[in-house]
Amino acid sequence: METFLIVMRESLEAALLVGILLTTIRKAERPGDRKYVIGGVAAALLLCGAVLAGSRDLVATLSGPLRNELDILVFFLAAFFLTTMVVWMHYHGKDLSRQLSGRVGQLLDSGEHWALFLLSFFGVFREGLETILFLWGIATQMGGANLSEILWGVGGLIAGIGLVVLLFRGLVRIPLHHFFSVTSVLLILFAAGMISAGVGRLVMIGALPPLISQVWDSSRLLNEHDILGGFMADFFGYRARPSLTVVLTTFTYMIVMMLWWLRSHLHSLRPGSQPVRKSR
Amino acid sequence: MNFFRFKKTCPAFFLAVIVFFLSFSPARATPGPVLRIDVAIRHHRFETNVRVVPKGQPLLFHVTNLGKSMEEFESYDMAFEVVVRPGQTVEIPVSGLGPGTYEYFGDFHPRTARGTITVK
Repeated sequence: METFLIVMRESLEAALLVGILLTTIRKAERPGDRKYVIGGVAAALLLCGAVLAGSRDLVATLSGPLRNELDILVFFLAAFFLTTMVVWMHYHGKDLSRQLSGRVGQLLDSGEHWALFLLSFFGVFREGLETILFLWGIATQMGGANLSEILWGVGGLIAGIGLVVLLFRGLVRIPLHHFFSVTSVLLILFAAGMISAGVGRLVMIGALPPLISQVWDSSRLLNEHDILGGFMADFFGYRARPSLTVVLTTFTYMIVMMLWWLRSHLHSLRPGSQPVRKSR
Repeated sequence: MNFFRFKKTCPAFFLAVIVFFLSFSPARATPGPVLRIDVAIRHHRFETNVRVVPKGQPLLFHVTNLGKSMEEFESYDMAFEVVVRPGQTVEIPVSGLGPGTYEYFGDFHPRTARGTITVK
């Protein structure tokens, strides 16, 4: 049962990001962009498999001593690309991107392809490596209970991906404009979570001062070890005992992005501005 | 228009934030010798010799997996997440901490594998 929950959470994390990307592409009616996301997922899975087949020591190094560096890189890259994504969606939602002329439009588009590829790649690679290691650990263990454990693991994988599919089946029905608004907020919160996690790592390796090590302790209210707290921690960077540095950076990012979001929304609601294209 | 202004100011803003925080770095407490905390993983549980450490003391978690199954040594409070194979030893440095309680746990066996460090 524990295996089920662990694998489900890992696959949910990876699938949620890929799900957002695929649904956004579908809503934006740019089916040509789908290949970059699928390519990222495939590349990540292939690399996970290749690394595992090639050298278990390399897997252990990537998930052990080198893990922290890899994570920090992924957190900040993801935060950056998610932010790009939100900006792109804003312009796409208002159907302005077509008006961005010539070179600038192309640049934005080609940059977006890389962002799509790298986002799905890193999202799946990070969680994939961990999940493979976890399942491989169970598989190599001796004892009779292993087959059922592996089945629990596979069940968790299916449940995680299935949940995301269901979620986006529902989300895809939302009209285009609202869809972009909802996912924008979701992505901003996602990116804020990445920043919270990344800055937390930088503080602990001593690259940034904590300012105050534990500003507050909300572990009795919402604990990372509970289901809800764990979900909030993994997806939105919730920490029950955050350092002041993490609080300041995360909230600064969130406030700046939310103000930008609000402003652009008020702008688009103003009479006389371009009418919003309806979804089909 | 809005977009380009956003694109220009945003990185500059983040750079300013980073510079602001880095400027604090030299002012930190002088790091003394590192305190090594041995953690052994056995039967999906942690065994350790250190539970209380002084504040500002740089730490080094020396984690050895003596069990038969893979474990992920993780902490939200100390922001690390490292897989330890059976028989493997992993070292995780943690910079000086302020007073408080810091939890760590085994993400692959979160029910049993739990531990805390109290900083005074």
